[in-house]
Amino acid sequence: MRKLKAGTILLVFIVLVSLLVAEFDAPINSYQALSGPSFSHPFGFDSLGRDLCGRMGAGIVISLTISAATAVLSIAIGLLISYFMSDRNLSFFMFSLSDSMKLLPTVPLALFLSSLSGPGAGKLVFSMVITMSPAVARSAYSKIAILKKERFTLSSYGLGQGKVKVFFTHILPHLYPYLREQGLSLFLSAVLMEASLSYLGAGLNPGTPSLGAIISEAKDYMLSNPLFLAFPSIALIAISVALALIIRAFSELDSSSK
Amino acid sequence: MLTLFIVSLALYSLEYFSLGDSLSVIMSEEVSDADLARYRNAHSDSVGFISGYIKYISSFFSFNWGVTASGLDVKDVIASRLPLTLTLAISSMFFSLLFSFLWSIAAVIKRGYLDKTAEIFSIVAMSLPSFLIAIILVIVFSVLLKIFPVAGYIDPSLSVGGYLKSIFLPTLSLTIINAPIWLRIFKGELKKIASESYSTSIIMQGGDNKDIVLYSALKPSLIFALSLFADSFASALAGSAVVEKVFALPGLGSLMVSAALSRDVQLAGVTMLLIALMVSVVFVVAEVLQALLDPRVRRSYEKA
Repeated sequence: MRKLKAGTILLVFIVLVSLLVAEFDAPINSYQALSGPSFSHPFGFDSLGRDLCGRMGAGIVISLTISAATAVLSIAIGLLISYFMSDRNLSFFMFSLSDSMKLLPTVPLALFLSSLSGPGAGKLVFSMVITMSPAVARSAYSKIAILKKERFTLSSYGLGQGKVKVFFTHILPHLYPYLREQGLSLFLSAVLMEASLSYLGAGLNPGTPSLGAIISEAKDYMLSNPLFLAFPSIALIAISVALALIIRAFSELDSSSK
Repeated sequence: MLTLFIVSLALYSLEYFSLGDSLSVIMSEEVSDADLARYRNAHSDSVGFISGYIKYISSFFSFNWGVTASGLDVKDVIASRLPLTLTLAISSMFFSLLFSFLWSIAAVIKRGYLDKTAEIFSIVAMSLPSFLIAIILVIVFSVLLKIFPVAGYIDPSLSVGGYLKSIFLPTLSLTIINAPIWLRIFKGELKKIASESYSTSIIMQGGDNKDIVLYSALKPSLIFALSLFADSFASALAGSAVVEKVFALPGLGSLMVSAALSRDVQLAGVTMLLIALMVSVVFVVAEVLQALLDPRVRRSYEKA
């Protein structure tokens, strides 16, 4: 439980602070470029003279929003695929779909998509969802198959209730612990993926604040201005460690209740 | 022999269909782009979707890969980049496997702090993004200790020592990226088997933790690890994109990045296909090996 508390507090703290300080299009001012921390600008300025603190706040907000959207979408699509495909002996199709998606690692796929018509948030979410949702479908499949054979599900079917209704009244509530853990770990991997892709320049549009993009800018000034690299890196590490702690706590909770 | 034949046939058809799926995913993207490209450079040979697809595939397998946006032959560019990435991917997989294997055996035999540190290591390494791991390594080894070069690549034909030095840090960072997955799974699998009743019987015969690991847990967990081989290879390839960018190495990953940034669809598409093909080959090999080594898997194929 300590892990859960620590992780949640850290995460909520980061989100609140970044919401407070977020500055989505900070003015460029080359006179103060790379100047160090001061009282009114606690993290100093980046290489174009934008307030690093505000930019990081905006980056965190954007990146967390995108990652949350990715996690929710992948879970929703994955669940729908595995619920409706397990019915009509379509599971073979589902399995070959998820197998073929395994052959396409997300990072190269996102790079490929961005080579088609440039980077962008929508494309980023799309390439993450397309690789994550088949995996969700696959891992949810066995759980859903068991739930479908339970008596309460069968009796609802027998009473003439529709598939959609049964899904929401019986299947979904039972999947809750699984969804919680899966959703959080997808969230974490989406955060990391978004940061990596923005670092490579193929994530969000250039200029959009994002921790990965800031780190990639800061790497060039690693020796002359180490603080510029340190702040966004620490923020990114803090976010992912907080998420990892929460995930760990939930999985311990699940294994102890069994 | 019959089982082997069935296994290979089943795998082949599975791979055939799934590869077809992945190719058509790429293909539909190609088509939507072809519309754009048509009035961009008057490259209008209007072929149907299916025949275009067949042409696309046949040209891929006949190594007729077209030219890059800058006019170079895609085949030559990839051929010059591929060896480095494969070296990185394979050596990092080898090291991460070895490392996590030894560590998890030690953790299961000794328990206690080795077990705990393995846990902490895997949490930390899994929650760090790959480029940060690489940057931290650069700061520690190149900037502070000054042992290895910050970035850059030295061809082995020029200097073998320089070559080894230039790929040491990239390999290390890919290893750290890859290791926690293996470590977790190995350790979990070893522990699971150690709590089975046939392992408890070793204790009853007067054995200890070491005997359990050596006699009953080692072999099945090794075979189990094979099933993750392809995933790990895929993640090593994906990680190489990031690591090669950080260390400025001329590999397939950095090629993909520059292709993406310069909108070089031909190059990026062929590279993507090649990556999918390589992963699927590893996939097939790993699964065939697993079927060869594990009678349980073989039986499940016989039934199907």
